Amino acid sequence: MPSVEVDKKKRPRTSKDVMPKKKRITDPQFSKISASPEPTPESIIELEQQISSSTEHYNNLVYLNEYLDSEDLQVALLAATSLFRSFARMLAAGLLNKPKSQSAGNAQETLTLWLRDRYQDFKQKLVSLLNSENSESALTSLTILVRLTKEESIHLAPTKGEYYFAKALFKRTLHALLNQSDSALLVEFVEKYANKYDDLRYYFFHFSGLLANDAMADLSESHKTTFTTNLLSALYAIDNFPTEDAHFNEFWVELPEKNKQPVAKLSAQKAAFQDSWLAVLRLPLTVDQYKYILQIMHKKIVPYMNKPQTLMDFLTDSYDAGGSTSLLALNALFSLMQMYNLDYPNFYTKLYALLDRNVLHVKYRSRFFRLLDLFLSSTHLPALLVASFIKRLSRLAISAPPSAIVIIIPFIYNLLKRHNTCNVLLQRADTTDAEEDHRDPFVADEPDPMKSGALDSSLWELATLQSHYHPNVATLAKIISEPFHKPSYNIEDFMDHSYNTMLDAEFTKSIRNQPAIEYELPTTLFESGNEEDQPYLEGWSLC
Amino acid sequence: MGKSQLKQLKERLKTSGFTGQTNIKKNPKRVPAATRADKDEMLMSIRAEFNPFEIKTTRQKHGDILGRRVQGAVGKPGLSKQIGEENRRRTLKRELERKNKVGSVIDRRFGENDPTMTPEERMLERFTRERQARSSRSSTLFNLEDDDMYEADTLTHYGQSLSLDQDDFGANNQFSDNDDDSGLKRSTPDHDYTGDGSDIEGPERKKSKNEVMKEIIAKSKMHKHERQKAKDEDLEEIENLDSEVNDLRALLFKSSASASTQPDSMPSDANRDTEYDEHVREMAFDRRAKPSDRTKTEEEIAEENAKKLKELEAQRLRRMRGEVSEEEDDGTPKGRAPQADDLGDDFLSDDAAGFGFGRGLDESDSESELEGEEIEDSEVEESEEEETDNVDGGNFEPSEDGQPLPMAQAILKKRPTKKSQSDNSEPNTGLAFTYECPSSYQELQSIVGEHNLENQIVIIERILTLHHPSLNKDNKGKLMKFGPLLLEHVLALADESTQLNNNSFNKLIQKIHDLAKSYPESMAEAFREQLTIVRRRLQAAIVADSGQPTDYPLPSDMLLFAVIGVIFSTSDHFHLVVTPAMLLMGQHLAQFPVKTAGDLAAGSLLTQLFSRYQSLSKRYVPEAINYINLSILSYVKQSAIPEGFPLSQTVTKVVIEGNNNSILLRNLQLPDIMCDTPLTSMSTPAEKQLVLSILKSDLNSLKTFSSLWKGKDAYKEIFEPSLDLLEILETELGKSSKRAATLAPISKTIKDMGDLLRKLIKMQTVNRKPLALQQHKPIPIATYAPKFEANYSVDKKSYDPNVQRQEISKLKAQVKKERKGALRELRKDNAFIAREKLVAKKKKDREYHEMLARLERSVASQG
Repeated sequence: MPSVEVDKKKRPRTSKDVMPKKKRITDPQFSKISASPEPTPESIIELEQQISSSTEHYNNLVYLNEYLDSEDLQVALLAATSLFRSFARMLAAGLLNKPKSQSAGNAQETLTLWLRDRYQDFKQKLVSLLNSENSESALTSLTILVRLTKEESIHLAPTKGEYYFAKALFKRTLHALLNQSDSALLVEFVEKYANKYDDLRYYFFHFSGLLANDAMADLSESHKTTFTTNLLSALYAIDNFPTEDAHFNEFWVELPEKNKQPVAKLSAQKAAFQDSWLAVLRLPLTVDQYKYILQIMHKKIVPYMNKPQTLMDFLTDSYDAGGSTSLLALNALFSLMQMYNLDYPNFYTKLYALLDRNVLHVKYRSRFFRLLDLFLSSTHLPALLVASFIKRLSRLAISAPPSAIVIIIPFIYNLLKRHNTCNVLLQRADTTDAEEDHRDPFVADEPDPMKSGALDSSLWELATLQSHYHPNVATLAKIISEPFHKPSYNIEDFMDHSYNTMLDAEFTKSIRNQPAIEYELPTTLFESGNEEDQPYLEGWSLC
Repeated sequence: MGKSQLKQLKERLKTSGFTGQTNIKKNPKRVPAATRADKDEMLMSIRAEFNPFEIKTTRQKHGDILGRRVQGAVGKPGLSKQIGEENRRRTLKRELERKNKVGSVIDRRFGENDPTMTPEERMLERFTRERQARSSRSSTLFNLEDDDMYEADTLTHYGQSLSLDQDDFGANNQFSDNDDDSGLKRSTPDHDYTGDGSDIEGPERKKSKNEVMKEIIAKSKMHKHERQKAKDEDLEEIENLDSEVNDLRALLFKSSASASTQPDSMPSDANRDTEYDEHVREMAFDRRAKPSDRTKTEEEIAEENAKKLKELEAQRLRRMRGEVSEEEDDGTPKGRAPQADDLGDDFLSDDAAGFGFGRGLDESDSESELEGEEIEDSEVEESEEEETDNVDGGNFEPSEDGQPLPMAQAILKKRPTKKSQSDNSEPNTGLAFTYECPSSYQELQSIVGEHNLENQIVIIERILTLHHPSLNKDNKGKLMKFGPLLLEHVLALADESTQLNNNSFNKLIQKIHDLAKSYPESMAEAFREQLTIVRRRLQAAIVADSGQPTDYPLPSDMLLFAVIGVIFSTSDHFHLVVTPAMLLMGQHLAQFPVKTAGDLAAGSLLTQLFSRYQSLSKRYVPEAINYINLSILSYVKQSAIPEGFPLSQTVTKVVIEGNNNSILLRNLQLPDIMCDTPLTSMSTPAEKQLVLSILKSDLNSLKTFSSLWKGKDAYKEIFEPSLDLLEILETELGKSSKRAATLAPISKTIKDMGDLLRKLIKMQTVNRKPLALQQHKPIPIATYAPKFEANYSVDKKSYDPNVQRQEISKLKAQVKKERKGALRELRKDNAFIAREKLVAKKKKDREYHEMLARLERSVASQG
């Protein structure tokens, strides 16, 4: 092990960096200031050991800080860990505590101030390291920062024994993480720390909310976008939100026994969670983010909020937006209505409007129908309303793919079974042939389901579907002309079909009986140019 | 009766006066009838009454019900057995003893068996009778009608009196006493079984069984004798004839011999006989000649054909309605109809599965919605994005660089080079006469690949002839393999437009059709395989990013659908090939993004195919009509879109400008679907012509559908969106002359179609009546009350409301009961007879041994 060459000569690089010249009793030996021009792992360890051995070598801190910028990854990492250990020891020894008086007369205090400055430098460098290209160094600096947060919280408490959390450091870290171009490190942080430690989660919510508000005000558009993406992916990554006070048992910074901190209270956690989310929702969201948030809202957001009512504006706006956004907002809106007694005026009118031409063709089809089933399950709904829904659904079914028809028919069956008065849609006995006006009384573009006149109409569309080209669909449609023996169909069984599943079903059928062959061929398949031949495909020729 | 048996016995004895104080003074007038014999009898009865072993009780299942007395619940088997035994001894044993004994002396002396008469009285009475008889005989000896005549003097035949009045008396004739002695006189079986009522006698029979049998025997003997006699006579007759036959023959042969010039040439008798026999045998085994089928007249042939066609049509209709017979059934088990009180049936079975739908998405998928929807995402939404991207970019560069598809691609590249070598070869030159039946596609390629289409057909014909299944039993298997190869080959041909020829093509399809007729299963399998390939490519094309070239649709894909349409019966309710094919076509029409003129043409072809598929069954195809609507929409300039059809994808508008008055519409061609000009840049006249022709074709399909679905209830709802679109087009044409010039070649079609739809919709709406689908009688509300029988009785065996049937079953039960009783009686009789015989034999043996012993003794004593 090559011994570190001690340079007797003072090598003042920057006057600021080096310790003040004033001699003190406990002054470090300035003569011992040394720096190896080419840092090696061994020398770094040597430097660290010197620091811990005597105050004389505190200037090593300066060199180590410099090494942090080193090109050599190993050196930088080693320097970082060495510095962390040194500072941790000093924190534990109370060397970094704020001096009591501001007068710089005391030598001890001067030293403390100087050390605090070095400490600040160190933290500054670590935070900037977070953005480093190299994931390893970024990760190491993250780890050191989080651990420093712990050390600071324990040792830098303004009053001994009181609970203290190093908020400033944490906020700085979080700020750096959130403004990164890539959310990988942030998600790493969430998974490793925020998901595990209740206090870290709390402060994460707390500061992310604050930072989001700041970002809203300060950042440029493009930065906002990355910020939002980062924050959202972090929020999605949070997965074990507690549901009881008793669940708070894992803390990064130990809590004092006697008085309960807000960190350990569910309501406080919920409030922080809520603040964070509300701040996010205020940020500009892309369409995909918006839809995804709406999708998860009723399951992953609403239950953990203190006052979910605060989401109401957001949801009603989304619900009024139309299209698939409305469909998605329906879920969360429903959970608010169900649990928090939210009153949504003209709910059914709006729901009726959701049944537009494309509702059977969008990907959230089954999700929507599950909810629709729920909303229409009450037997106390007026028959006029239910009839309108039935009629509109059957109108939509006439142009729907087989997989959607398959949902609608049992759905209508269940509605008819539930609302006997609507049976007139299938069976109208009182009409006389003499009746002149056979026009359909149903007004398709009437927005109010109570005025659509559907109850006086008939479900001709479903009757037509009895001759659908797909044999199973046709068979299914036959249920409306058979006696209604079955109490209800399980809609869930019909939900998740598509062309693919139906084709799968067809192709897995094995040939059990001879497929029928047409007994006569047409004279020609394509146009032959010969007038007398009747081609199978009129107007098409082979070439 | 809580007392013990002993106490009961004591009490009984006391009341009967056996025990206790017998105070004579208190009962001075005691009847002297209490003799010793009487006492014994009474004691016996008491003993029997108190012997529990004599009584057998049958335990009742439902205990004692209101004092109901069940027949046969308590019986005395010992007693009844004894009574039966005595009866048998009286009747059966007598009969047994009298068996095989013809004569017997019957003591008919007056009063012999009458114990009430003293011997003196008896003698006196006899004497008077004798005197009377003698005195009357003198006067009425020859008086046949005399009532008082003595039995011995009547005229009899076979022991029966011949006097006139006897027949009228029937059962009560004077010999009945005699009959009674020998006849079986027993109680009916059921009486015997229970032991009581053994003294009830059945009605007397006319004749005893014995007598009847005797009569029958006598009769049969007589008949036999007569038959014997007749036979003897016949034999005698035959013998007579036989004796004469030689004379006759001598006469015959003499004459023939004299007639023939060469009597010596006749073969010897024996020789001739064998020859003759041979001939006879030959002729006997010869098959009888049958009248052959008459040659049919032309009318008859036509009629037969018509009949066959009619039958086929009937079968087709049956399939169309989905009425598959039992053995043809698809195997979906039909559960019972669901009932109101069905409980967890939803747990057990999937409602959807009952209708033959597949599994749907996986459970896990549907549970975590987010993932599950991703799948649909790929189907629906991505195509949307694709569409929009394409509109923006408009720089869709297809085919050149990125043509992927492995098989079709390989063929595309390989074929033309091969073809070019042989293109100029004359038909039928250089063709071998025999070919091996290829068993793989490569082999087929090597055989057929170098020849032009005409020659290929010749080769294929030769292969088919050479391997006709009647020539070799292996050929069937070979042809079964050949069919799919041929199909693959024909489809591959479609992808190279170089030498397609309509006639040859039809011939090839004819071959496939023939093979499909002979081997439906293997061909159906082949078609399904081709469909899976198409499906894979279609799905890849649907999810593919825009701008990324896809290998779908190829002309071969369209051809496959068309060939399926002509070969298989597309009107079937369910068809193993047609149903998946239609689903695929539906998926194409609903989800395949239309970007190029080729895509538009492919869709147009598919809609037309749908209309052909449904030409007989007239089923409704939403995808087809939606596609036509979207297709018309792409020609519409106006941005307002009428309601009534789904619009999940943005429609690429067809951009055509300029004056197209001079363009003549043409027939579409299969290779048109490979045209990759984006719809947004239709500039050359050829492209314009194509695009306008496609619209024409679409409108034609619309017309076909509008006539196919005339009877549908929702006619108005189906076609109104199309009409709206056409009306928009019409107004556009009317408003701007520039637009009119652009769409000039089809403006008339548009107008005609619009008029037609307007008319039809009006007509169909006027005729439409409200639905009456639930005309069945109302569903009865399920009752949970148990079913009560108003006047239930344990004794009642059946509650059959049908009186006649009830009578019959009653009689049947009675017959069964009687039969069992009779069998039981016969069994007991047999046991009795066996027992008696054994006793008799033992007795006889004993006597014999005793006699022997006696003899021995006497001999020994003498000796």
